[in-house]
Amino acid sequence: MEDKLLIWKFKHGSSDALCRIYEKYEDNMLTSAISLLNDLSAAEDVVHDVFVSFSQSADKLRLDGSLKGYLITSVVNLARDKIRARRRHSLALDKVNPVKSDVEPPSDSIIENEELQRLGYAMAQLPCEQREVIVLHLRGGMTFKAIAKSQGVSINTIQSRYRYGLDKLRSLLDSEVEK
Amino acid sequence: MRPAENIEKFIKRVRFKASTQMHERTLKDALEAQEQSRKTKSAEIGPSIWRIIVKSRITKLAAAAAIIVIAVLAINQFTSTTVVYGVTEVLELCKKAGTIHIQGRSFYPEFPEQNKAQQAVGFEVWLDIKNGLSRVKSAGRVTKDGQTTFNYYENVIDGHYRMRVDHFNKSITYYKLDEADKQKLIALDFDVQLKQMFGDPDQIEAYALIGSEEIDGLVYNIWQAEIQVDPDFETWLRIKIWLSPVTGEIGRVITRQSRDKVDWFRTYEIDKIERNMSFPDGLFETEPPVGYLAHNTKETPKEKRLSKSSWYGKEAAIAVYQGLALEDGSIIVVFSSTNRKSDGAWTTGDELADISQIEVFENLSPGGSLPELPIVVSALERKSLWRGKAVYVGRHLTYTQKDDRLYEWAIYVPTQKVQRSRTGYESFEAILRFNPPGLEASWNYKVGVFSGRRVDAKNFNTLLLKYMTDLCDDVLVPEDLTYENVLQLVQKIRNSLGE
Repeated sequence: MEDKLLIWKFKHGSSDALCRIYEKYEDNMLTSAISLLNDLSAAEDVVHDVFVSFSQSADKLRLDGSLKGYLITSVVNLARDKIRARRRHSLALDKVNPVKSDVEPPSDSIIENEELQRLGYAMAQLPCEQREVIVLHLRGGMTFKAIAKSQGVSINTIQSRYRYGLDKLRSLLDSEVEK
Repeated sequence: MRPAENIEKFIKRVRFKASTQMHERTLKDALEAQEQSRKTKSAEIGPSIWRIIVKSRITKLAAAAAIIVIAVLAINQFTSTTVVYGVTEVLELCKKAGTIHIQGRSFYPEFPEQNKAQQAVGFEVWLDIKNGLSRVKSAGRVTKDGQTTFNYYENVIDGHYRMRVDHFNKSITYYKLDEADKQKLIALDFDVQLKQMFGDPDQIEAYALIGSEEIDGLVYNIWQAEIQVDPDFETWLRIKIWLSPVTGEIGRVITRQSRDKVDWFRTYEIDKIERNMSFPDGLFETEPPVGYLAHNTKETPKEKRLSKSSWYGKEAAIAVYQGLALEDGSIIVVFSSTNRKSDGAWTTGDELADISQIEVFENLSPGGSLPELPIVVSALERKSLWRGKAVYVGRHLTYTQKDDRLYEWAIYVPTQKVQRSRTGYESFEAILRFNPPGLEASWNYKVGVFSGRRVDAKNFNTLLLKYMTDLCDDVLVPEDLTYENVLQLVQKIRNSLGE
């Protein structure tokens, strides 16, 4: 209900609503971006670019689902572009070494949240598609059906990606989360 | 194997707070982009409207009138600062409040032995956050001769002193506030109150609008959240908040608790919440009420250092002091214990000891076993509804002696990763070990830990060592007791627990 009011006000040019939307979803967007990229400064850039782009979209914005889902989907899409660009760059720099993971460990930007660090490293072990489904479902609150629609694949594929991804995360985080 | 469900909860729960720099940069750029987009749109619309006006004489007037109406509407829209208040906005308003007044009731569990249902106990909180003043009325449960009753207390902080008013015994006691306490105590109280009203701020998104209701002529939206307190606890809180969407005022808060989401028990009901209001005259005056006995004066205040609670059993007694939390989550707790005096009588306060226990302490080493006193706090157990269960294993750190009494300074290290407390004060259950075995405490013995002010490298000397000198004949504390050494010791203990 609150989001519907915010969207209505945002579409009518309210800067208060824009601020409110940002404050409400900033942390979630950033956490999602870190989960995907495992790099704080790259994640901050993604959230920045997504939100600046969102701020210009008032007249074009048509929401089918939730605002949160829309913003997290935007984060996922831009993070995917970043990962691809990074992979291309990495391959161009060194064609001899195989790329084991498309996510690099954080360099100069330190993620001070220990739990998020663990999650980031564990997520980095997953294929990009599984990572995205997990973020969209758990952090974006999107249904599998909505994710399937947005990614143009079947719901069964999405559910499989989610299940395989979660199984792997479980085995990676099993001892990490509690101890 | 960890259930998949818990991994899902973990991923949902993990949160990273954006830095202020990032927050400001993104918001600034977004607002500029929005403004630019708005101007571009206006520029695109402009000429077409103008063409309509100049097209014919009849439409000229009509279109001009339309433009005036649109302009008025647009000005209202773009310059309006009207906010529709939801839970998140009101939480932010509360966080920014300079003063706050809360009045309500907390509910205690049923007393089947007295055929009593849940019992309501009133509380009232006045906080002047900016100036560090407060007046808090609360109640404590007292069981005497098998009957449970409530004792009302008030704590008044006037910026220099804390006056504790005991309404049951009609007496007052003064405590002098040290510099660090002055603002901190109020901030911690404030934090607790916010949590009581809204639940865990991290779960604020769980709130949903479920309806509206008129109270005293004002319409309030009703927001409700059902929050699972912790993944390891099958305990749920249902918090309902009545908020005015127009003013952001809170009309009422009702909190229920359940273990099965079927039977909900009352926990808190708040029916008066004011923000940024002025205070009644004399509210923070620390003069004793008429007819109340003053245990001391402001000239002879009690030095409030580490608070202590004592337990007297048939054979032995123990006194445990408030715990101090270290930055890494481990906790230092001081305790002393003694046997019943040889004449069979108990004395009070610090005169308990009548035999020397020095032999018990002499061969102890830091990180090793605790002294085999008559009663030993062997471990601490946290059963926090908010942060879950955790066990902290006790090891010897050092000891002090004052007036023939020996004090164990023990360090308690968690056996698992623990979530840092955001509140100022935490309650732990003390796991007691008796020498000789066979005795049992008749109730759960609690240890309070002031997590709000953690012992770190900066305050180690001023905080921990200051407390230590209070419980030490010779003012000198062990030379090797430094912050770095304590942290190293904790790490060693952690490693040994892992093995």
